[in-house]
Amino acid sequence: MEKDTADILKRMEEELQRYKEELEVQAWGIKKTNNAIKLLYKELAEKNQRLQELDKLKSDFVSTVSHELRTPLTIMKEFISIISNEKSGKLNEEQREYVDIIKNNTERLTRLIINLLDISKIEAGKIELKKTSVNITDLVKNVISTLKAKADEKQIILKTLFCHSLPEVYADPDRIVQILTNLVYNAIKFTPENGDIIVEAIDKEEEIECSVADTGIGIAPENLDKVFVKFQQFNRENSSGIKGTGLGLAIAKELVQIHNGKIWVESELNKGSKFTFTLPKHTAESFFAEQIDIKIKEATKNDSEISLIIIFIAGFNKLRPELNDDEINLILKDVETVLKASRRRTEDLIIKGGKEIVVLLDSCDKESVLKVKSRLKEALEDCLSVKNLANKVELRLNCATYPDDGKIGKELIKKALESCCGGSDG
Amino acid sequence: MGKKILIIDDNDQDRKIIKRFLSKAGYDEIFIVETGEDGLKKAESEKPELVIIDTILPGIDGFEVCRQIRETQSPSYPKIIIITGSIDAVDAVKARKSGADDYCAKTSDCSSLLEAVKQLFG
Repeated sequence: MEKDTADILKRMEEELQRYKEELEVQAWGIKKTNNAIKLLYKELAEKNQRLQELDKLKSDFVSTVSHELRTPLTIMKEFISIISNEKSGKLNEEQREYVDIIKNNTERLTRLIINLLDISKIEAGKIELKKTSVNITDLVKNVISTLKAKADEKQIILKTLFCHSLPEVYADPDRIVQILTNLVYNAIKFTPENGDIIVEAIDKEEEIECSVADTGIGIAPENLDKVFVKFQQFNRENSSGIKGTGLGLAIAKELVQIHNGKIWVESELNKGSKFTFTLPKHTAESFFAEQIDIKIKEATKNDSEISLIIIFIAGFNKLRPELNDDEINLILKDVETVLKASRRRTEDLIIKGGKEIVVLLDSCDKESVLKVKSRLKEALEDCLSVKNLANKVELRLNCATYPDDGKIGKELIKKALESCCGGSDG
Repeated sequence: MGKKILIIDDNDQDRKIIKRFLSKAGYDEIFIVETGEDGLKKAESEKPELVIIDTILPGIDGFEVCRQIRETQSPSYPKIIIITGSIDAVDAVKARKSGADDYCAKTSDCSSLLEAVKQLFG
């Protein structure tokens, strides 16, 4: 009996010893892991700090280039124009020639700096497109009127050809103007006096196609695929003497591509060139869906929710005899302004479509969005009654939340619109 | 310092970094192999005083290499350090149970490895 007890005790002791050893090993492992994590964390923090410093250095450099280089240039331009306008005394023919050369080259340097900043921003992926509903016809007219004087200098006729009822596209208007300006500017540069330039915009099934054709010196076949490459310039000796930066077409290409469009060139030496680019057509809905999907990606990463509110002008067609499209658009603009003013966080997106506006709210769940909705509704009703529109226009607000109501933008919009058109709110 | 060190790691960059920092610290007799199998052979033929083993290796993994070296040689010779790019408490315990003297993270300056080496060599 005593021997048994002693045996049991001995076994228990051995067992306990094994447990102790096991625990010691476990403790050792945790200690080692802990140390390693601390070390890695420190290393990460240091790297992060260094990255932030580098990033700042880079943006500092870019802003230095933009400011420090532009300031002396502006001063130079100022005094060159004083000399050129003969405010400081008459110029003889030789002096006039020299001043003109200086003037052209300071302008070229300015363009070069602006373009360099642009291309570095695009390459760094730092260009944020401010997409809205855009009327290409208006943008083309706008570009033509800016460049008309330049064309007139060479008696070049600028013509436009538009397809009737060209649908609007979702694009960044400033960037489209930049693309068009680069193309038309080039066309003027490489077209001899008395030439023609035709800017055309046509409605293709899936996209809008916009082209700039000239009767200029053309591009040799072997150079065609190089025209969109940075710092490639051809036919310099034949051009009118205004030197470019060699970046215009490279920028145009990047800008078209970030709009998901294509750009290409057809040309025949001494006959002319035709540059064409396309912009994909988007319905308001697909544009909203695209923007929402971008937000959803972020939300998934941060494991947060997002909500959207659609503000919709109900009975749009009934309003027509009284209000035309422009007026409806103005109302929507007003609504947009009110929304922007009552927005409490700048990261919330407000996107205007043809007949509706979508408000995208980050990290906002089903309950919070209802509160925001009623707050917005109040603000909008106030705005409408002040403008005496309360009886003419009926605004409907409806919302949907990710991930509760759908996993992708399309589903969320559908959900919100369904309740908009058939829901109890109306 | 006349200490033989064997490094078993399949990542080319990691091998170079570890070798560079060890050389800098004065350890000049360094052998490098890419797989566990080669590591076992080298450990047998060269009898290094320290073996540094990566956890994840093609073929037999680092823990198994460590265990086999311990089995064929003595419990206190050579010294063994298991290193890893992905720190894990379960792995640390596994390393200890395979007979490793230390378990440490790969850092870009090898500071934790160098510290461990210094301690083992006293």
